[in-house]
Amino acid sequence: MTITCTSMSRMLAVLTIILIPGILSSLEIEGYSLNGLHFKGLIQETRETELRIRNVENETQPVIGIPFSEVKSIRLSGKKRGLALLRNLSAQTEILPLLEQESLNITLEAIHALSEKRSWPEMYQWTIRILAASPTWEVARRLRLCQAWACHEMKLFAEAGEILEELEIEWDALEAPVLLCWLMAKMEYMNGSGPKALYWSLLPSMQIPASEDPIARELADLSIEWLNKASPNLKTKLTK
Amino acid sequence: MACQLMAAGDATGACMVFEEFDQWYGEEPQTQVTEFREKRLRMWGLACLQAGYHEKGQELIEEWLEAFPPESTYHAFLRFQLASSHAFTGNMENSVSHWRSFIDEHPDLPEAALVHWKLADFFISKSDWTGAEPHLNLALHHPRMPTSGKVLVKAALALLELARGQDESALEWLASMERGSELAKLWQGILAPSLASGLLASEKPREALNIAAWFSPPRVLEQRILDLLQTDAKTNSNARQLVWNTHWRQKAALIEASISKTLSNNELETSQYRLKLRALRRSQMHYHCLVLAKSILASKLDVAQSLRSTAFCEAIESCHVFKDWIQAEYFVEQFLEAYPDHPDLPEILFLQAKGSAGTEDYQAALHRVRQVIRNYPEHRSSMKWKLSEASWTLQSGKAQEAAELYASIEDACPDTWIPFVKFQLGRCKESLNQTELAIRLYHDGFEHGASTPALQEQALLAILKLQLKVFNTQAFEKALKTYRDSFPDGLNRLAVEIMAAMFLQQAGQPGKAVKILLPYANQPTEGALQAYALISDIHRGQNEMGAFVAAAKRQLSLYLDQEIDIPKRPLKDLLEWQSRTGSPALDSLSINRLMDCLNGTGPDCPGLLLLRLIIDHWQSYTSMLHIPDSSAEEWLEARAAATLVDDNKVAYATFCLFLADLLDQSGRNDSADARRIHVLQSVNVDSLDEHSAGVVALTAARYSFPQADALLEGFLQRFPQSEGRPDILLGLAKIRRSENLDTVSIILLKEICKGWPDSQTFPQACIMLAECQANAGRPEEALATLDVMLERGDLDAKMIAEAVLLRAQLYFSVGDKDKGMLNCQRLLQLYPAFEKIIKSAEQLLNDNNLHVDV
Repeated sequence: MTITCTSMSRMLAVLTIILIPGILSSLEIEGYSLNGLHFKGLIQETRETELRIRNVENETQPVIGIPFSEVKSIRLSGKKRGLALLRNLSAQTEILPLLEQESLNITLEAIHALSEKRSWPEMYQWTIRILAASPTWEVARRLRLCQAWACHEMKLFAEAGEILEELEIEWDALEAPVLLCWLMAKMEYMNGSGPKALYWSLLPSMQIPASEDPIARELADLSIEWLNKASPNLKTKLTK
Repeated sequence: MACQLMAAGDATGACMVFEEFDQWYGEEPQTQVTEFREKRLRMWGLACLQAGYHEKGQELIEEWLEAFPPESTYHAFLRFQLASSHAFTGNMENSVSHWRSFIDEHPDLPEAALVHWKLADFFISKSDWTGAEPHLNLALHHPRMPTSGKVLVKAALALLELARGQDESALEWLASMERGSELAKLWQGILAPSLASGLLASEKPREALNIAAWFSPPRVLEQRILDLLQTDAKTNSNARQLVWNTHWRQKAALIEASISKTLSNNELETSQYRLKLRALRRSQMHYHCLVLAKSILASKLDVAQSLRSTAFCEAIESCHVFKDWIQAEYFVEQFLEAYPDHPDLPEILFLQAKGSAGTEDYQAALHRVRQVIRNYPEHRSSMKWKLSEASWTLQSGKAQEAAELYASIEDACPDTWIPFVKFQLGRCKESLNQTELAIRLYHDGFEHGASTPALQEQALLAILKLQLKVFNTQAFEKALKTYRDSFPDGLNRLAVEIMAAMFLQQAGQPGKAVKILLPYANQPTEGALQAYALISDIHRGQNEMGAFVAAAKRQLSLYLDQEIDIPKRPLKDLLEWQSRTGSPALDSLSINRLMDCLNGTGPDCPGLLLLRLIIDHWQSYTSMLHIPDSSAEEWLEARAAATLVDDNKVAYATFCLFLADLLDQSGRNDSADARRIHVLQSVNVDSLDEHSAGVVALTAARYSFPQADALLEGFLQRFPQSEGRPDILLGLAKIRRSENLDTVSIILLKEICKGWPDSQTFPQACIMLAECQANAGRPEEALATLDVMLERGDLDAKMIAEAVLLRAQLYFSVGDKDKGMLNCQRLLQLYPAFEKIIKSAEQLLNDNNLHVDV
């Protein structure tokens, strides 16, 4: 895929991200130390080298400090999800590299939910944060997909294109998520490659199981539109 | 005491107490007191059933049921238990009899639905679908049936219809399941493959394709079953719910068992993809089919690996439909490399031959198909291949040979093929100018008992063409009447009426011809344009210029009034009229309406033609369009700028590209290209018409823009019949050559050389093709290419010199020094003006230690 346009510099994007402050709030976690000790509680604060938690049930108990170097893994045990979770997590980013897989998945869902509010800079910021926490390959590529999405919506097309170029290779065509197809279709169309855009727009409906995501419906409509433009001959084949 | 034991769950203990009581007190009159008897019989019977003493339990409950009326409190419960007990002990006749009594006595209880279902199960076990169906229907429509139960009943009904071979009814049942229900999705997923397969077998590909939306990979089905079983386990059950849950568990176990075999391997998923590919192709959704085939070929999943050969076949077939011979050939080569011993090899080799025929390379096509026929004489498709061989022989111009092939097919083919073979024989004879014989053969095809209506229509059409050609008035009119009577709504009706008009025109009755055509021309369809074109030609031929321009204006109004995209032909006629009469063809109203279209407030309009119409009579139209005093160039610049502000990109491209042509005409090529590049950078090329898209793509290629590749390929796909195709192919070939993809370049260039031997691009394409062939180590082919090129009479001198130099180099390279020297000599004698070429020729001679005196 060839990228030809950018409308916002990388620097501007970085500035946008820096300007979004973290919010201090407590977060319910549990985890294990390297020597097998189980701990559970509300994060009181995180310092450079230390995690400080207090008991959820008994606030009178003293705050416990655990050096990060002694923590094996952390799980988000609270019920907060979505934007609320991200708000709390934004003040405790030091724990991100220690999060267990399931908690990373929950965070990924929350990042995805930022699209509902069209908080693209925030989405971009979160993908960078979690990627820095060395998640598994599967979570990492899902994060990069969100990153490409955010870039695309912020009109940072060159950046989006670079990420998508890698993801296109990494994702098997029969398993490509509908979001990747949507982004690829949009980018290819923007770059004047109608047939490639058409390919990506039709792909989700060709997969088994066919995607039920609303984006898949949007793509199907786009494919009809593009097919009409592509050739009247193809149009009849499609709508027959 | 017995009751206490029962309550404590000790049914066996209770039974023993009841037995003991019976031995001691069974004959006592008090035991016959109604209230006591009812309870004793009921509890004892139930204890026996629970403890597994079915025979005794059944006997006791039968006695209870005989003694107490259906209105009794425990009647329904005991009847249900008794029927279940009989079913458990395998006494189905008794069980069924009690189920029937239950339904008669307690039709409104929720269990009645379950009982209907059990009765249906009984009939299904005996493969008695007719007996089962009414019970399932009654279960489904029972007012107390829960939603999840309804889904299950519908699944059972779908299964039943499938077993009866009623695929469409099965489809209806599955489609009517509650949307979004996980249970519905599960059943739809399980039954979809066999249903789709059945629908495909009964030639219902569209329905099969709809079914394909329910396909689920085994891992998804497995998860759904797991989720459902977990949901069931969590359900807090009362006694009544327990009965339902038991039933549900049995059904769930059935689901699990029915798919457990396929879950363990890729078979299910593979068959789903295969079915989907077939359904797409048979539904004529070739582009979708190509997308799926491509994604399978690009996939590294296990399931894709086992589908690769099928995907190759489908991809090749789809490419053939789009006449994308280049890509088809690419897929064929990949297949041959990957699967040299595949069972589908003969079919693929045939498709390769078909691809060659598609590019009108009949020599290659025939060579290939004959090889396939020779190598696989017993193949099931061999007769089909022979038909293709005959057809391509005919198309390659060897009508006599083709006739002989068809004659041999006629002797061996099934009777149903005879009308088609006769028709094809007619075509051969037509090519051999044996008109009478051809007409007779077409008649034979038409009248044969096995002839289809489509073939009959084609045969009549062919007869009409020939009768028009020989101008046999009576025979033509007879055939015309037969056609009009037999095919009042025939697919070729317009073509036939156009022939009728041509016949009248030739018979000296142009007025009548126009009269026939007018009703067709007055409908804004593609056919109307053909009718209008003939009307226009008739008026031009009669030199009725008034009628000529009036028809063009009428046609234009038709499209404007109905807001349908305006075709080029009427505008071209108006241009012609303007140049012949020296007057503007359009009045103020019409030209302003057309300009509105260009500005995006009406149907699409061929903008470049419209601008030509205006610029050719600039002075007249400026006042009509209220254009202030300015030159055409200034006006075009201003309009382009204005449309860009309005974000009307298509209009912007039209103004810019027209302006670029004007600049080219005045020798300002750089300025012209600057405009074209601006269009390239600011407009989505997919929204442009054929001419504009071609210009922009070629400009992108000329200046090596990164999107050139995609634009050229996009053009070839969008406009397979375009007259600009050779230029685009050449541009793409140059790019491929720069990427060292000589083999792809060769395919592209061959298409130009074979398809457009009269085009301007032809000589350049030949030279480049020869260079590629030489690079690929095929000097003989390169020499043959150059020979073909040099046979053309109207070549530019420099082009000839370049070709001769290349030929000389090739002869030297194959060791034929004499011919090499002769070509150099020719260059030195005939083309001394081309210094660079002469120097190369001299160097070539020096390298080979030769000298030529000029």
